[in-house]
Amino acid sequence: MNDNFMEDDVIGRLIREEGLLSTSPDFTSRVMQLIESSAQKKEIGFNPLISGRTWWFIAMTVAFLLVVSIVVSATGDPGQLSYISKITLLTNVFTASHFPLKPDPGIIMLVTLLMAVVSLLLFLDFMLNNRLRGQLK
Amino acid sequence: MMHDNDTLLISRILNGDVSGYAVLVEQYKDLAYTIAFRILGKREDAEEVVQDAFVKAFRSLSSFRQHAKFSTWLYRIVYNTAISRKRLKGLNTQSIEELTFADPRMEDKDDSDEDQGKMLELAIQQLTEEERTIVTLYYIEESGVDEIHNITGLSKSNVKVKLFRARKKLQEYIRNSSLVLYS
Repeated sequence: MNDNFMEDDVIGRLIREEGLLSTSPDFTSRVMQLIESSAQKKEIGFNPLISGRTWWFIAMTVAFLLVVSIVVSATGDPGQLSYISKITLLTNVFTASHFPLKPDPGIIMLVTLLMAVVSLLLFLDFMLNNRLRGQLK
Repeated sequence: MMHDNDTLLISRILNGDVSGYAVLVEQYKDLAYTIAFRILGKREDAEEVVQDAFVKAFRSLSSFRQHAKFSTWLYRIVYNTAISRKRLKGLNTQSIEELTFADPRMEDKDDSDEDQGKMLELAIQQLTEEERTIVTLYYIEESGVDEIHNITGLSKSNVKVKLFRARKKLQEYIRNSSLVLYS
């Protein structure tokens, strides 16, 4: 029993004296370099100019403008129609099995161009987001 | 006292003084490295793991609850990172010769110290990786069962059992190899 205590004491002393290993001399500076570079990356963190919520707002506005412009181009001056007629026309746009209005070709061109620009902006935003996030990881 | 110093340093770091982290690295790197080395058995892997662990700890420093000890929190990260690395790579522990001669500390010692160092490595090799970690924490860090339980995630009773077995194995090894330790 006494021997066990003595041996345990010896083991403890030996492990305390010999058991602690050392890293290479430049270890701390290597860790600090990694940390400083990651801290710098954080500082230039990417914040998208247009948030997701703003994009939704833009999309809804564009959709609304599209519908209104189609209706206006097909019916002429909307001021000449009663509110009930306007609502009926808008409902027909979404529910009729065939398209009930015949919009101006110029308006169709404009709408197509607008949709292409919005799609391109969305695509660029998506690509830049992914690319910058990848670089900053 | 050390706990208070760490708390002050961490507050400084969180307020933007990144260079303060070097003090913490300097203070805890050797035991962190020893823990990783006892699990992985390879110098390069152990150093890489400890480096990763320090970077991880820095990134999560804001989530560190300051009523706990920084060292316990850090060693837990080191332990988990080393275990994950070992599982990922399926590492085998190095041969005893490689272990003793790979450590530059051994090269500067006189013969009797070198013998003791080698003998210690041989004795420690008899233990499982968990036992090695527990013994290191128990003797070098002078951690109690609670702290070892927090670092390794083992239950307290399991820590006690493993510590008892590890000490027994080391005692037997010393007895059988009639070491020069008593001189």
